Amino acid sequence: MPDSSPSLLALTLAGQALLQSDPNRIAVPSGADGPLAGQIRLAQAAPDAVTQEYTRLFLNPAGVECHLWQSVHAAEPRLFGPAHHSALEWFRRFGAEPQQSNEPADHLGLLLLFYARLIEEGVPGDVTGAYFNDHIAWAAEFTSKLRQQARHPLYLALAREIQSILASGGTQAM
Amino acid sequence: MAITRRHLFQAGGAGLFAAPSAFGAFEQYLQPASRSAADVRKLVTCCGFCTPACGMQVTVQDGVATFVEGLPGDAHGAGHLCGKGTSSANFFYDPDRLKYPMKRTNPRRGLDDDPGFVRISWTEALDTIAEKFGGYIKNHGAESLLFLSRNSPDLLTRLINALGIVNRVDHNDICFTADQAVRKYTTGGKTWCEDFENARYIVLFGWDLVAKNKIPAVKGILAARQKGVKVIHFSTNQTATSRMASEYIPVRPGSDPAIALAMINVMLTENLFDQDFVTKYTNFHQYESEIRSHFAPYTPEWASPLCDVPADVIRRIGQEFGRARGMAPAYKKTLTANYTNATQMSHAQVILQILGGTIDREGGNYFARTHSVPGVDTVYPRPANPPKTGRRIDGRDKLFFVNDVDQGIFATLADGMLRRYPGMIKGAFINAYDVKGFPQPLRMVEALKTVEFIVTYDFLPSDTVMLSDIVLPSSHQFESNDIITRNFNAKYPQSVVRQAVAAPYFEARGTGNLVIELGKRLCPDYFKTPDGAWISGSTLLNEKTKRAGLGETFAEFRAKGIVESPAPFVPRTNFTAPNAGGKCQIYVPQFKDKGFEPLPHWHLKREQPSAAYPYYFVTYIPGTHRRNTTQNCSILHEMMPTNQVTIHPATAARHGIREGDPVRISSRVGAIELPARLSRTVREDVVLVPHGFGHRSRSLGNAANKGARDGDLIPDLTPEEMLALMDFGGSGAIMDAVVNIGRA
Repeated sequence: MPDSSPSLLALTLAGQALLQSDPNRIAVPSGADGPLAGQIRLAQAAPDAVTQEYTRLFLNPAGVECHLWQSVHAAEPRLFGPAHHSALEWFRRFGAEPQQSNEPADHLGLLLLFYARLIEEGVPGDVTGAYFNDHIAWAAEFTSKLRQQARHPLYLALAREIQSILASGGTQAM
Repeated sequence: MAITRRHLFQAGGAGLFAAPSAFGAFEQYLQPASRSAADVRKLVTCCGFCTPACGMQVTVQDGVATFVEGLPGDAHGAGHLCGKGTSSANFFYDPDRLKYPMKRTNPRRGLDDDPGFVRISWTEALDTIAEKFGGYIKNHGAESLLFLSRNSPDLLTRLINALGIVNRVDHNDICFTADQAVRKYTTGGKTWCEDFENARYIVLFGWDLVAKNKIPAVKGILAARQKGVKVIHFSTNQTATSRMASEYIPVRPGSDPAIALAMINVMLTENLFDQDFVTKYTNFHQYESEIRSHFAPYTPEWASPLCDVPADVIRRIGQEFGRARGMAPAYKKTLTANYTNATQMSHAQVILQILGGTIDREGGNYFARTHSVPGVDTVYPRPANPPKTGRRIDGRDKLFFVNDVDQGIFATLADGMLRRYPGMIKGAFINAYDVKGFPQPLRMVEALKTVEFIVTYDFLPSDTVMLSDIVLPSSHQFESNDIITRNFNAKYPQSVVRQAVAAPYFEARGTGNLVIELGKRLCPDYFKTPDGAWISGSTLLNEKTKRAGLGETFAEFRAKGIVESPAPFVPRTNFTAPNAGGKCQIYVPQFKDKGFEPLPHWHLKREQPSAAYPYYFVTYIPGTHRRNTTQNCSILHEMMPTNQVTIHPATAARHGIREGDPVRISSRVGAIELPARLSRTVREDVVLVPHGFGHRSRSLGNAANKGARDGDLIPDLTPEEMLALMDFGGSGAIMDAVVNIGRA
């Protein structure tokens, strides 16, 4: 793994935190430290507040603050847009596909978990760099919105973690 | 970037699943791929935006609709789609669509209150709804539940009837109820198929069918024009249809009945009607004396000052229409159906068609020839329904002929909930209706605030969703399977498949599934097959397909796409108006029996210009959008993102209004503000605003807070007013407001 790659733990925790509204369903390895891991552990004692905040931020019928899917951040926002097909293509070329076939593949949580696995498997830097450019770099806009809108410390920590992933991954992609 | 075999090899040969991932999360959300390349196919289905159901060919990649085009060879769309149909995929993949069931946590209910929604499971949602609705029925009677929904699909009707629901209310009063009520007693039913292609003369009142993009109708009108057939368009404003017509004749809003009555007068006075048809198939001779004397005063000279059309023009058109045996189709959403004199207008229009001898005849309006698809009650006979007892919240029980065609009344609902029977409605199920569809929508919001428990089943987070306790995500036509029997352009039976080109996304569910699950909880005996199993939507669809002769199974029908059963057009000789001896009725004794007019009279519309409100207010549905449902669709939003108010330049000059200026439009019930668009296409006394804009739900990323609601200016009604105005067909009268304007 290149030195500049984001840590597997950071990618995995961030990916899960984006996919799971219930903090008790996020696996935090024993010994994991850092602000996001700490916030998840704290939230596991009071999960309802996180679940409500997750809904408010990402799913709220009364107004989503931060859309989780890359296609929604495109010039013409939509679900299942070109980024979904591109993500599926990346996944398939490495023999994978999402468990949930009824939801878009370009969910930032899935994209981060896949990125982690590419790095973990030692896929060459030019490939992970290309993937980063295709499917991770866009999250800068998402992160900015998340930082502005999050009211729960877990999601503020998550925003910082993704920002740091973007910084290290961006270095690698260059 | 191209991924090579080397990369895959480096990734572990067996891919990313050869060894467990470091923290186990990867395998929790991703699995080994079931295919190595995209699955791309083309599937046949039909459009769901409007009733013609034009054939569609959808390119689907991995279950995602990526391109939508017209179906070549289709008798309806002829391979074409309108802008709405073409934009279906963008509508379907709207990022703001509802994705999961939600429940409200904030008890404060208002358009500006954050509902505090939290995600729940379908099971929790259904259990909660069943518990609440069951409790209301037990403690307050079935009258305490409001189903704000159309009466389809048939499974939903079964649920409503099984629960003894008396208050099912739909929007049809603002579309076509008056016409439907009149047609039942004149011709026996809806004659909404127009044989424009073979027409000899066409008179259209208001209906902007070209801008509405009804492709079969537009094709027909074009074919008629190309053959030199004269098309007359009476309208308050010059529209796309006016431009396609031979003659556009501007009329005073709400005066259409005066023109129709005067045309009848000309045809009767000069005996320019189809004597053979009238003699054989109508009650004309039975009531000839009453009919002739009734229409005698309605001369073109009488009509002219009412409608601002010269008498000689009305006379000429009456003569041409009579000599040619013309057609004057009534159509839902025509301007003529939206005044308080709509019942009279519908009756007059039917009489024009009867006198023209064009009811169910070539070149006229005809009854749809369709495949006979059995309903659920035929496939799975049900136990007897409980009697429907209780008070009718919209006052429909006072309007015999509206009751008779089983349509609800939007225009009187808020009044019923707030004034007549406050607190009676405890629970409401709202099936994809937005408060914006009501006259005085803010009054409807106040009415809904009095309801203890609201469930909304919808596709997008409408303003109604913001008022709801439980929100259920509905599926789109691309996620649904059904048999669509066409009732436009249906000289012979044609059925087209509606198929799920995509699996339901997120946790959206179709109406059938929702209804069956509620039925299991609330009235299980009604949702079982004769052998005791639960009714299944797919089994029911297979059975319907087979019994309709469309295929052995729905899958077989799906593979065919469209089933046509060509047959010669045999004109009807036996009509089905009740107790009319198989004849069409010009004079309707049943109307008289109920205290109404057996022949159409002239009535002014409800509101007339005054010093305080000197302008007629006219609203319309622009062809770009489908009512108030598509403003958030990215493509359609780009085409028409907001609404404006159209005013004649001379009128604008009197108020010091220039193009683009903000204009305040006020009526006796409210005010809105919109930018001015100056155009000579409207009369100087008309203020024109398109419907569908002014969404308040901030979750609609494109549509939120764009434009203004026309409904804020339109007074709602009471059943008593309808009766006093002889609007016994129950028109919502959404064109009846008068307004004032001023630079904001």
